Amino acid sequence: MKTKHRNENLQKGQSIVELMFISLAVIVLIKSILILFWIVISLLWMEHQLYQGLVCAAQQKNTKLCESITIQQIKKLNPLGAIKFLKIKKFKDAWKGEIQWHFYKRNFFIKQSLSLP
Amino acid sequence: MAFLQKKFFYQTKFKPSLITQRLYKSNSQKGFINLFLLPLIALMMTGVIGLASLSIGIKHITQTQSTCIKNNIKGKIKLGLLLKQILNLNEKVLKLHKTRQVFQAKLAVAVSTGQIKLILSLRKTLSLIKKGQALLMLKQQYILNQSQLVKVNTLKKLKKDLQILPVSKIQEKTFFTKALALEKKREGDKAYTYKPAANFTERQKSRFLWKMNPFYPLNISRLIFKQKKTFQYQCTASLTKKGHLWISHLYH
Repeated sequence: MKTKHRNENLQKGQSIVELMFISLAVIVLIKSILILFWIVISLLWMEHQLYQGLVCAAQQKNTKLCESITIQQIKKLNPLGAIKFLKIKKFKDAWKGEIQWHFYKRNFFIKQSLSLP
Repeated sequence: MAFLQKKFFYQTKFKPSLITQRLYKSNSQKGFINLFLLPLIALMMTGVIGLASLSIGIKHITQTQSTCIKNNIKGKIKLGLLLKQILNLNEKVLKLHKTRQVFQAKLAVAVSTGQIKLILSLRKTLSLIKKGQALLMLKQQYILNQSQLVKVNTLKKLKKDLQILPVSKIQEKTFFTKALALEKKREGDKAYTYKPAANFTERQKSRFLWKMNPFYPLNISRLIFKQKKTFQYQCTASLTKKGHLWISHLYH
């Protein structure tokens, strides 16, 4: 009888402890997934804005002005991370752009080109 | 195992033993992780759908823009060549016009002096000059007609290329009445020279506009804006002189 009560007492709170451990694991998993989604969204957005920057430069505007506009547009939707490097240059008949973005201890490189016929 | 448990329970009608209680508990805890995974899977599915629609939207925007830029610039390259041709004819037009004036003066002198042979040869030469002028006029008209054709075909080609994308209301906005922004100057009878209009690059530009729902077929615009929303996009190109060439480029 005594063993029976002791076992029952030991089992009380077991589900709460299990819940704590699993919650931690799930929170970490959700955090990783959200960070991954954020990285993908940011990369897509930066790729799009870099292309717009190339179009701006191809309109014979000052490339530095286009670069600063591109950075401003990127930061509108993506204030996190740091843009370490953004360059727009002309190579023969094509405009090429490159961005280096630093986020979550990693560097991401994005390249785009706009070739004119 | 479950069958034995049920049999034991109904047969004894007593509270089940501790072992049986533990078995029931472990069975009731099965599916605990599945319950936790359901909202996670829902979250992941929402995220994946959102990412897919964003990626599709951005791809559509870039694709339509690059198609428009390609077609617009190609059209402008063709117009640039035609522009160069018609401007090159100006020299010939002026030369023929001066020659005609000279021969007309000579003819007047010959008529006054009554030199019949000279009058006949000068008239023959003058008729050749007039034919030459008429031919030049035809060439100029042909080039202008070709430029109009290029303008129409550029829009046609753009509409055809954008057919596969979710684009509507493709239209062209021009800033001059004709395909080439030229000013015509009369040089005597049946002779015209053409020169680029004032503020040529601004007036030669052509802008293609179109409306698009970039997130088609995933109509997420309904979720955000509570109605089907389309966005307007445009691309503009023009011509600028650099040395002896007319360069086509994007314009604002």
